[in-house]
Amino acid sequence: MEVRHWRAVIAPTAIALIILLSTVPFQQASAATATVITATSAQIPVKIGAAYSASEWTDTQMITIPTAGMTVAFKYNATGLLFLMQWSNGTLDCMNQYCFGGIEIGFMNNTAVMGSPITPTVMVLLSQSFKGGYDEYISHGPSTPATVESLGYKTQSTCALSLSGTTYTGQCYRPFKLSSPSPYDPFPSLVPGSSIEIGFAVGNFASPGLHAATDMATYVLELGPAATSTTASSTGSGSTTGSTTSTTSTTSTTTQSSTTSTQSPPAGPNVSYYWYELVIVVVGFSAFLLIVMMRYKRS
Amino acid sequence: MDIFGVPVNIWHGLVVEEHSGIMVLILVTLAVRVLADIWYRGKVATPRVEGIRGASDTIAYVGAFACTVFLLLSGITGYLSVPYSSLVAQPVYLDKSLLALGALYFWAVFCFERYWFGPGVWKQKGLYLVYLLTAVLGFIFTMLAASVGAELTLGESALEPVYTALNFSWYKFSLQPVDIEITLALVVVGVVVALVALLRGPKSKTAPNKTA
Repeated sequence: MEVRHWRAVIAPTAIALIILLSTVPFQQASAATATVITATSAQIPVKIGAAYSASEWTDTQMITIPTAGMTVAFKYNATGLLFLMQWSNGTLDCMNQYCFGGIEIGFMNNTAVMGSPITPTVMVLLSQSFKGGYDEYISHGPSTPATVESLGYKTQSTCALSLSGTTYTGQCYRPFKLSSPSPYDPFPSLVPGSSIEIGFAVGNFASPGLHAATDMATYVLELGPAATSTTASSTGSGSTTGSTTSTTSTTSTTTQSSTTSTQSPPAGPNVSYYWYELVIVVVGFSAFLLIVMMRYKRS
Repeated sequence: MDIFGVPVNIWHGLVVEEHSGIMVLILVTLAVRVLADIWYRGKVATPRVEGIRGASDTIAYVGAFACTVFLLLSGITGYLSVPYSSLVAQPVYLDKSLLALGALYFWAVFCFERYWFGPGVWKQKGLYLVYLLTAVLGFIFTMLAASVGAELTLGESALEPVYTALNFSWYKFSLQPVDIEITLALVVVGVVVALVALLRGPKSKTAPNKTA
């Protein structure tokens, strides 16, 4: 048993090292200039299905999105994200029952407006023309987005839309733990301290090309740090069968509620396990190869 | 993020196409080589068959080198497409990273084996099997990594019927300690078998390198 050349040891070791070193994280510069919207940890619960109450949103900042003509607010509780959107009825982009408003979310690698075939985005849109007042869509680029249901996935959000005077108000709850989500849904990566891309749009389905929307490079949504302890009760309730407009009555509602004394981020995969697996495969096969090299001399 | 004015995910798609296509070429040439060896086992091969053997060996060698380079580029562009915070938060991205790095490793080893042992890699039964095993492992890791990539970009892959039959989803699969233990057991068995073969077998054999 002999190793004829010192390179017999160095070469496979070098290969293994190169593979392992290639996983050293690079600094991601994407979206470095985007405006960061921080969702704060909720202190006041929001009843999504109930009438809009401004007092439920006093624990977070209202942000104006000039491009879309929309005012928004974001906060989150232990189970999901709560967001508020308000925009005006009667503008050029929003003038009848086909008016819609909503958000577009995507992974940080997407800077294309309405996504692209490679990096689709997920839209949460609210409109009186929808059954229930809201729906989620997958956008693959500058073509008509498809509902998540038409692609075999489920809508994750629970929203309510109301019209008071000339102001539309949409309140939504979107859980962190998703059920049958589309693979383009960035929510599984949204943990305290992390970011996703976000866009805002107001438009009219009767005029598909007519809408006011931000691109996906202007804003990112970041989850602020989780509260270490709170005794607040977080309740989200959602209308499941009807919209809550000022002219129609609210139909039956279901309520999701969760009470917690500690807010903790959703559990993610254990990265260490992947490192162990990779190291075992690389080191194990390299050892196997070394033995083979001892068995057979180099020609 | 753009590179030369082109979004990095477009570059990623391009280099992925390159290594996928090259890998198919490698497998075809290896299959030709193995079939030729089986067909002419114990027989005197004609010069034409020898030519095919030599060509398939060269194509597989050069192809594996190119495959390794493009895998490395696809790993870099893929990493730049997805920020680290997203990468480590979703099992599907970690699955893809692990499989892609595994593929990169095995194709690099495939190149190294051919470089180290020369054309003689085909002349010893043990080396022959290890060489093919490395290619098969490289193929499996690349195929699964590509499948996860297709799931991410298109929402489905060619392996969808298999996943459906096994009730398996990359979005739900996350490595657990038991998976690591199984891998460790397989690696230990492989190393022990190789050690036993080394200690019980004859002294070092030289891999002939006259012709491929």
